[in-house]
Amino acid sequence: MRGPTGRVVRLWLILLVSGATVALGTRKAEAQAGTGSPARIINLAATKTSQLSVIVGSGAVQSIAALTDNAVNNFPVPVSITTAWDVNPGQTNTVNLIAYFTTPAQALVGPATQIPASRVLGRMTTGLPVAFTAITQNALGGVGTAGGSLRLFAQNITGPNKNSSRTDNLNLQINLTGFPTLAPGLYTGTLNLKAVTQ
Amino acid sequence: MLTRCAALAALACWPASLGAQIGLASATAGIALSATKVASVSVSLPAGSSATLPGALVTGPNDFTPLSVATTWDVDPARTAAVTLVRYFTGPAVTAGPAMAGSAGGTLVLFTQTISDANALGARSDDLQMRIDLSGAPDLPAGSYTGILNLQVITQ
Repeated sequence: MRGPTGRVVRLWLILLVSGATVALGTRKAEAQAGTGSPARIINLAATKTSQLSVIVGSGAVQSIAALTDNAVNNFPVPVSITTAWDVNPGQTNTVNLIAYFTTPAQALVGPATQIPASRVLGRMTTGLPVAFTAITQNALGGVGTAGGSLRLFAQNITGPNKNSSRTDNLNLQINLTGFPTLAPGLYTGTLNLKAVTQ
Repeated sequence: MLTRCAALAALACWPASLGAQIGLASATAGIALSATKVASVSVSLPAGSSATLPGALVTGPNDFTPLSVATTWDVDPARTAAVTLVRYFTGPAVTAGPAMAGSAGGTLVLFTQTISDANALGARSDDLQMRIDLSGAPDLPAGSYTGILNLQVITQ
């Protein structure tokens, strides 16, 4: 409609249509907010494996060419041992290296007699037995044997060294002071090494 | 929403790796040990190693003062049947070999000691009586006569 009132009517129509549009739009918005499907669960699993190893770098074969009765007999060369670990410091206080004989009463077996573990001594100047110590301790953390073990070191674990390694030398000797005279022959045995966390 | 799900998933993963580290043990490494006790035998002369004939040489038997001989052994009875003491004068035809001692025509076995488990480590002391017998021998020129008698113990 024309004239001043026609312009007003057009304005009201515009406003009316806009209002209706807004009213319609609002109902659509309300219907879409807060709607969601049921949650679908995806199970994720990933494992970081802890690592612990012991390697003998040199000196894995130790020999004494001629034993002397009633005396200390030293094995001529040290055993070089590298222990490596990758552990969680939140669950591991120490990494321990244990040396042990499977049968302490027969650490070395000969033709007629045996040399017990109490007569075999170990020393690790960078570890715990800084002086020669008989291999007569008990097992630790399920590793070793009663009366036939020796704890060589206890490495404290913290954040900075949770993934690390160390190399140590182990010296060995057979002390026959006061021991009955051995029968001539070859005496052999195996000293086991194992690391364990605590 | 997606961020919350990712966080919950991460928390679900965490505990599984923690529990596996308590009491963790490595594989075992071994050190082979060997030591040899070597067998030994010895002979010694506790009263000295010189013997001088008392008086002068005469036609017939000439006896020296008995000489004490100490023999010791430490052997493996599984590998040694006997310990033998021999005495000999060094001569032009010396026999050789690990179980031989002495010289051809100049050797005397003084004793043979049987070895068993009971005496694999043992010793004995004996008196060695020596004689120069000139019965029927040509007269010797006057003078000093010297020589060396060897003693050796061997295993068999």
